Amino acid sequence: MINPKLISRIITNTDLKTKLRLAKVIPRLGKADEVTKCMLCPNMCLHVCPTFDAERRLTVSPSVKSRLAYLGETDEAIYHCLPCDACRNACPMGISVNENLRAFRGGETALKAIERFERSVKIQIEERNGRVLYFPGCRTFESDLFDTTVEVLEKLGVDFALANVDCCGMPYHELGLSDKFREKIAKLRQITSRYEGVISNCPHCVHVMRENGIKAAHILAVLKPVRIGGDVSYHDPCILARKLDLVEEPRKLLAEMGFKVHDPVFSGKDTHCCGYGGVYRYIAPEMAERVAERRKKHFDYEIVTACPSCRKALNGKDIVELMADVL
Amino acid sequence: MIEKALEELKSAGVRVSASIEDRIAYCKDYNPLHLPKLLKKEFPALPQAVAFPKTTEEVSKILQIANAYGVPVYIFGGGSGVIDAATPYEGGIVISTLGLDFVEVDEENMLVRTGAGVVGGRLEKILNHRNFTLRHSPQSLYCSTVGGWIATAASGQFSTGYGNIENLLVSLTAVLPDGEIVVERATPRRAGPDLKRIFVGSEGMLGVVTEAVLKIFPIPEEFLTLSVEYEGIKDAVKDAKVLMQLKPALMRIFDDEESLRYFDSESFTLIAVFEGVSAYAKLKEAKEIVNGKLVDGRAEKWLEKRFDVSDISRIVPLGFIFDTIEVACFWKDAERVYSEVLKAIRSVEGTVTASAHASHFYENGLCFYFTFAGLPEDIESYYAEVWRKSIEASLKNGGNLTHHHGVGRLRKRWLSAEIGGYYPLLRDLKSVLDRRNILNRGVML
Repeated sequence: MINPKLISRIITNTDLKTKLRLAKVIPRLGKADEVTKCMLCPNMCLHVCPTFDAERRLTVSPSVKSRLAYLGETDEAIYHCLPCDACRNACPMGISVNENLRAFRGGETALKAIERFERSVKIQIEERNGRVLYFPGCRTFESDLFDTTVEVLEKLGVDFALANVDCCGMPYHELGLSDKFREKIAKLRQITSRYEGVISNCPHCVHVMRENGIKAAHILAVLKPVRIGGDVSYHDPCILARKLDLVEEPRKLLAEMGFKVHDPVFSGKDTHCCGYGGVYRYIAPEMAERVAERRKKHFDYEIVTACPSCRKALNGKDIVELMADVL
Repeated sequence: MIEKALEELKSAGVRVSASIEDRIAYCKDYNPLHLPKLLKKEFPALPQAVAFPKTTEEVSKILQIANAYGVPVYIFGGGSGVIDAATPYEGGIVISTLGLDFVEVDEENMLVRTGAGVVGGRLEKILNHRNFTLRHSPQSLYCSTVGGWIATAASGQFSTGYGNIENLLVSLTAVLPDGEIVVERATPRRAGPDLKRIFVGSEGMLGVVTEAVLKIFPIPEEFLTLSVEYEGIKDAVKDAKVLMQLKPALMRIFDDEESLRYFDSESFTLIAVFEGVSAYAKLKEAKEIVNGKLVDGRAEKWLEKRFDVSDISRIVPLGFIFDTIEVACFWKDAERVYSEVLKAIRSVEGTVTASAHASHFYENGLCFYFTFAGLPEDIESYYAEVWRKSIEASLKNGGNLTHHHGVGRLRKRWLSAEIGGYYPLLRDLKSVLDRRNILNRGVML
């Protein structure tokens, strides 16, 4: 919103020809699309971008990825992005580079990456009935957290069901494979409609479900403190902190469990991606590892987190595992 | 020729890329004239290849090979410079310094040793986590690099209290255009001429800065603000001069148009920050000695918005051109430089807004930072005319050529008038150090 007094000054100080040009363009003020606006920025979120930080080339920096998309000159860089939204968190215009780039993906690089993803997913679930659906998500299996979580939920007396559904659709969404993503979501909607709600270890899954109208909560919502104690460093998973807004809750839970919680540099909503978010590691596995290695250096104590991807990337422990040790 | 050079670089283990994505990423700096070109899907320039060295030795190797083949080389940090110094107009090889990326904090001696490619915002965050700060805070903090700061003689928002980059610099390592590495031992002070200073503000023309040792400071416990309003620039500057005796960490004066933008007020506004153990006493005294009217909250409002440059993204797609011109002057010339440069900008047909703030203060003067936006029929001729008239107005009325954005290609025609007898000396230095004239050719000279 431009200050009316400023407008009046502009009108007074501007020559007639310029006034006429102004009258033509002012209705379009601020209406450029986000890719264009981002491309015109000097990269004011460069300092928080994890893919840039690992790769050390401007080509994968936020503003330049938008530039490449705008110019239609990209088949690689637009995939070198994480859904962490560190850029949006730092942007006065609230622009998420990753969200904007999805529309430009879907090509050969996406198809190759999804093939790698599908080959990596190995899920076997024995179905059971209950009030809420426990949806582990592929990464919980990958992190060997499934059995542990089932055990913890049982010991906490949570009435949960298991269903044979393998994917929230996030990888398809991130790679711009929208038909396949819609298919996955439709199946998920159908299955989850039978339950009071869904719980999951994976912030990605919870976020995708919520965005698509499915009542879902992160598993933190059903965990109860058990006394352990000690010093830990807490890593905020980016989706959990920025998109599910769960920053204080895991810290409170850990404190109630007797832990002294230490924050690393980049924490809370200003957290730093672990490198395993989204599908970056199916695109550039070495770089994803580099993001993880650089992130690990930020911690002084044992890393504790609340996301199976972060846990695996950082060789840390999930809060669920801490509980399983003593329950 | 360049193909052979690239082959040799690859054989030497240096990462080089000729992919179109990497070349586009390094096709321009942040000079405002490049933005309308991008909107039209035109490239301001295009390097033939980009090299990504990880060490000082790799930078040396690149320069040795480029020298052997006579290939032009351009140095690129974060690309946030606005004076068209990094744009690779002759193709050649761009050296991206971003791989020179390490941070070693020496808390005992209050120093940080960093690679030239470290991004400022990240460095500051790492220091803050350990309760230290660099207190070098240019508006480009989040997208500029340590090497870029030194090469452009950068200044930050807290320069009034902590100094410019040259005051924070303890030692540096650089590679000369022929590949020779120069390094000095870091000490609090040294004997002989301080030759590292030739790289401060050299804009990549005399060598490549690869690492630096900089001063750091404990984060001050006290951070107190002062906001004062005035009817005109004269009284605000007069008070600023008096306030300099109290050594504010930060001080700014916003003219009526900028006050309107930031604070919804048509007065002139002075804001100041006092830090450290004597901050309370200094603030108390400051409130007693200023002649303007004390007001609340304006410093905080500005501090909140100080890194927001999003207006550029909103207006450039409409056909606007937007830029800033910063010049320094002594106290006696302040009022005249302020009014004459503004008058010069406003006199160019197409100007929509022209305003100024004083952003950096010294015992003997200050820096004015003019901001203009135009919606002209022809962007390039409008832009050239605004710059010509503004710089001429500054030089004529006691102002200088630049305070901290640098010279680049944009201001080089006035450099000789600015530095007089040092101009031939600079030219000689360039020809001695860079015999084949491969490094940032066309910049400054």
